Amino acid sequence: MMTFRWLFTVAVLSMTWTGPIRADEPKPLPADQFEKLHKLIKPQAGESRWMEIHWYPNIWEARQKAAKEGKPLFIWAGSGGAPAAGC
Amino acid sequence: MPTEVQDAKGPEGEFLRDAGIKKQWVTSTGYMSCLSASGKLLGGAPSAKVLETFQKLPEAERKPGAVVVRDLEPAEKVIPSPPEGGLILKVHGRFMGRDDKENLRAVKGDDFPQIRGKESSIRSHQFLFEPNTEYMWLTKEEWQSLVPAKPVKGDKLPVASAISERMARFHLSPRRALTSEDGIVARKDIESANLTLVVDDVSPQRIRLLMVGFVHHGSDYDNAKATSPNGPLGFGYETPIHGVLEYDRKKEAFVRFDIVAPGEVWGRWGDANGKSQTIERPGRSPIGFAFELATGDSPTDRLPPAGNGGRALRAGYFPASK
Repeated sequence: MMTFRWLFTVAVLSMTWTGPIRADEPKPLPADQFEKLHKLIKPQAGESRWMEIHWYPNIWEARQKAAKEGKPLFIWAGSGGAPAAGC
Repeated sequence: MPTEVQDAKGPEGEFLRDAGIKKQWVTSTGYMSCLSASGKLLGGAPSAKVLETFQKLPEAERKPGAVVVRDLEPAEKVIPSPPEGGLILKVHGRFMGRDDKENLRAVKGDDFPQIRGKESSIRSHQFLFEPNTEYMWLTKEEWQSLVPAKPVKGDKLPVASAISERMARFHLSPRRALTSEDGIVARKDIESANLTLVVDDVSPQRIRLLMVGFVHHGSDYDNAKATSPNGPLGFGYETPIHGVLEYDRKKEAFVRFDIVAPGEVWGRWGDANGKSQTIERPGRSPIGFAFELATGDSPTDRLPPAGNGGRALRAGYFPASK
């Protein structure tokens, strides 16, 4: 169940907010609150700069491109979390 | 790229092993390596030295077009491709904080008690203060199932559990998304994963749908046990879901697919040994996820879900792939 703290937080976000959302009582966020929240969570200017690089999802496709263009390959490998997640 | 490709059978794994990569990627932590298309290991992260090593290779190994790389057969590919005609969503997740009025805001180093006031620790964790981004896939049949055949304002449509459970298990997974520890949420740990669409507006050109729902997985919150570090409460997460979807009836495609999940986590952010991670906070702490359509302008948009598409598919990403 939602706690008082959560209820308080959401209440501040939206004065029209009446309570926790559950699937059986859907109450969409007001449009302005939704837009603000969506923008806040997405990468801001200067963040997630790794995404400025065009990453190829597999080694073979990158190898074909490197061979065609006469360039070296740069490989970034991880354990399988989101691409830039630490471990 | 998942490190497990180095162990894969077939041309991709062989290419890496022949270059000596298997000895370079020892554990699961992120690695950077530079190779030539001919299969020579040039070094670690890109540098002037790597380029110099590349330039010293014979022309037959570095001239444009000198190395011919055949196409792979579908069965030889280790990394899955997005489903034909499917829909790709970018999924951004980030730690969040609250300002003095309890409004959500981006997180800061001092929000984490274990590194609060420790400048060098805060600097070394800087990458955790930015969002992380990965990708969610829907098949053509799945996204088409979200479009009401005869839309009437106010109508409610339940979203197929295959989609809501996928979102909960593979994407609304704070530990996997933000620290790479632990991973896909087990189906048995899903307490709730419900999504509903509400028809908000209908015109000859567009159908606008609002998405609402709720996801909870892991433990139930217990304030007395939500201590940190190394408290007794298991990890738990819950979030409301809000979305705005717009379907272009002429293009027969979604042109907007924005979702937010302003949720909260509690309990133990276990590392590989089950110990609390540095970013663990006591009580309930905010985590935000935002979804949006991928444009497909970059090959990055074809990165597989959960950072490791093969593992996700094996864990039942698409119900038929169980």
